[in-house]
Amino acid sequence: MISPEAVEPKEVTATQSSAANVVMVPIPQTLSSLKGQVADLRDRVKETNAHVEALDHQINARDLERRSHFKVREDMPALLEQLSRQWGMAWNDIALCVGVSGQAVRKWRKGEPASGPNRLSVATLAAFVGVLSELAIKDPASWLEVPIVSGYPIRGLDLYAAGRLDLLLEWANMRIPDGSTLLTAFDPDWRTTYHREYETFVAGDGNLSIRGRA
Amino acid sequence: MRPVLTGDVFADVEVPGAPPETGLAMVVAHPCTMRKAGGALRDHLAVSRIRNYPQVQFEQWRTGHFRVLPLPDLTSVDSVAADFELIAPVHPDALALDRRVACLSDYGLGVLQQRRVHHDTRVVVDIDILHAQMAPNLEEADLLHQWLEELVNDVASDEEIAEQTSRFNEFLGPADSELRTMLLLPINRADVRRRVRQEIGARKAG
Repeated sequence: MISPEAVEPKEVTATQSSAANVVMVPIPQTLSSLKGQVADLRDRVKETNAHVEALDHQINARDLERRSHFKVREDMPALLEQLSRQWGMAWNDIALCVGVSGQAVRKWRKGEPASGPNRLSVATLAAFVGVLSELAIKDPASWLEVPIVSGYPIRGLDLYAAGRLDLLLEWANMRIPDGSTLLTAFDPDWRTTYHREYETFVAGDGNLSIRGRA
Repeated sequence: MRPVLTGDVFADVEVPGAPPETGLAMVVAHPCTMRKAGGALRDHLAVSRIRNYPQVQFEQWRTGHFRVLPLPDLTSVDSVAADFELIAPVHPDALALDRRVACLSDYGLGVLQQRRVHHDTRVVVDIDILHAQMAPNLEEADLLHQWLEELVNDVASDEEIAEQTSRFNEFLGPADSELRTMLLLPINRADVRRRVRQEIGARKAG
């Protein structure tokens, strides 16, 4: 541990050890060596953080995979029932996340068979929504449906459809400070890519209309 | 069972002032102007004649052919397109469900609106903005579709479909009702879906 008094250079003759398992860092003799040591520590902490973050991603992915494989045992109409009736997801949003047409989802709802990969995709979506609800997101369907940054059209659903479940879980876990940081991780050019000249507004008749952005 | 919506294609439709050609017509009325307060279709709905049209390669969609919406997969034989210069109102009787031959996807609806707005005004509006504007109406149509699928017993009965359409609209309430107002904002739509689906379940059980 670095003593707070060590900010000014002074001679240190010895360090003490104790019975406790404490990492002892020799107190440097000069400010420049202290700076070097602190920089080294920061690098190590950064590296450790990166490793822990990667481990966290791996564990989240494994957890989702395990939940998905439990979910896939349920039949397709039951899974779709959960997503639609319990969580309130739109059929087209389910289709977007699974990567099929809305018509295909309607057919599965009526009991028509789905391929193995599609069953697993629906199970994964159901498992993912379940994880979100455990993270105290009260209404996961709304959470996914609302634009991440006001004025830009991109939503959690779009990140899901792009396969960035890892980013969504980080966001849901509040490990990403704000929507702009999330979108930068998703697409560094998002401010350009998703810039829109128009916006919707509620017109005098109570319906939405479109106007140029102020 | 899906209610008539913008982008639907019907066979054997006479479009006033347009040549018969394929006999096909696409509804181009905007989703929020198609229905009366009770849910019935308005007496005049704008449709566009679908006519034979040279095949348009995808990369050419952005650079020309602005007066049409190409429909490359509509027929297996001919290449056709909806012509924005051949638009006229028809009575909803001309749009019987048993004569409907195709529907546009939500994305296709956005493309239709984008091309039509550009044709009429030379303004290009992003498809996602057009979608955001249409979303409350598309959502309502989707919920009505589910309502009819689950609560209509005789799919061939126009009376029963009309009756259930009316009940659905009663449930949603008037234009300024809580549920319809909630549909305006994305954050509330999941809640509306849950409430409508719970109601469908309750009515089925009852």
